[in-house]
Amino acid sequence: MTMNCADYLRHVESSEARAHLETCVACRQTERMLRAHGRQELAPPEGLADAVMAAIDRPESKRPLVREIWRFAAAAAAVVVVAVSTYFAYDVAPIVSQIREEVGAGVESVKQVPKALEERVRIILEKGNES
Amino acid sequence: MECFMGFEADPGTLAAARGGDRQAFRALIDSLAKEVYNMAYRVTFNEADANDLSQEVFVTLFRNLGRYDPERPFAPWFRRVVTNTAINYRKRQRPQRVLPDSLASDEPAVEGLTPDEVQHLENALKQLPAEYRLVVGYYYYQGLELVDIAAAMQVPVGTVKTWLFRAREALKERLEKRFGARA
Repeated sequence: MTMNCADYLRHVESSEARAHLETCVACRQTERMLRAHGRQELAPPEGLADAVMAAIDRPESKRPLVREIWRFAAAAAAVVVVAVSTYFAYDVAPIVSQIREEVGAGVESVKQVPKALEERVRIILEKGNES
Repeated sequence: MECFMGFEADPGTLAAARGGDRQAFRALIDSLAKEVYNMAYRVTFNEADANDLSQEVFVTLFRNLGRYDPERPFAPWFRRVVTNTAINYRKRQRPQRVLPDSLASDEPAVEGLTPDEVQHLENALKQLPAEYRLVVGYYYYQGLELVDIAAAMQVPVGTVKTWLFRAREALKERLEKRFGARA
């Protein structure tokens, strides 16, 4: 049974894979390097055990608390953004549209609403006086 | 391949360490330090980071040793500690800088490989996620069976095969570019 590179890369431990290695230079080179690198043994740093014991004795880092504060701030900011956008979408925007319809094309933003309301009241009063 | 199960610990030392004996825990560190450090190096490819990660593994071990069931083998349980700590460590780190292949490197020498080959290998592996690096480490350094790696990584064996495949493929592509090897 012949095996291509993809099959070899998946099943390197089979006898077919070993046969593939004899014919494929790239796969043979890859396997040789990985195995050589796997045999490399580095000596751990001399102070490793001391450093671990010191870390165990050290009081717990404050970082988790800081992380919690950031999470809370992010959640609060998200709530504010949702509240503001809901307010504009459901409360302010319809009023602006309604006033724009009733008063005319003069209202383009929320800042103009009080003026537009004043205009609306004036029109209503005028209509009332006329009748 | 030279096979050893890795992360084995003396039961007496382990029991004493679980009981809060600091000297025993220190002895446990000494017995596991080499393998933990070498696995940490295979995740970080940097000696300073490997040292940090090794410390973190042992601190995590100290804090969780009470949860270890002495009726079960220690090595698979400890491998899960190493795996989880290594993945969390890599998540907190910035993406690693991959040196251009032409630049001289300070990677430790590897018997049977030229410095150029070591750099190519480590540069290729550095571009892989921590999970893939761990699988390569468990397979080629610790010589574990795929089923044991799957248990350590808490994933199906098929996933381990995929990760190992991608790691080999990434390296093969890089080698073909550099050395012009052809299948």
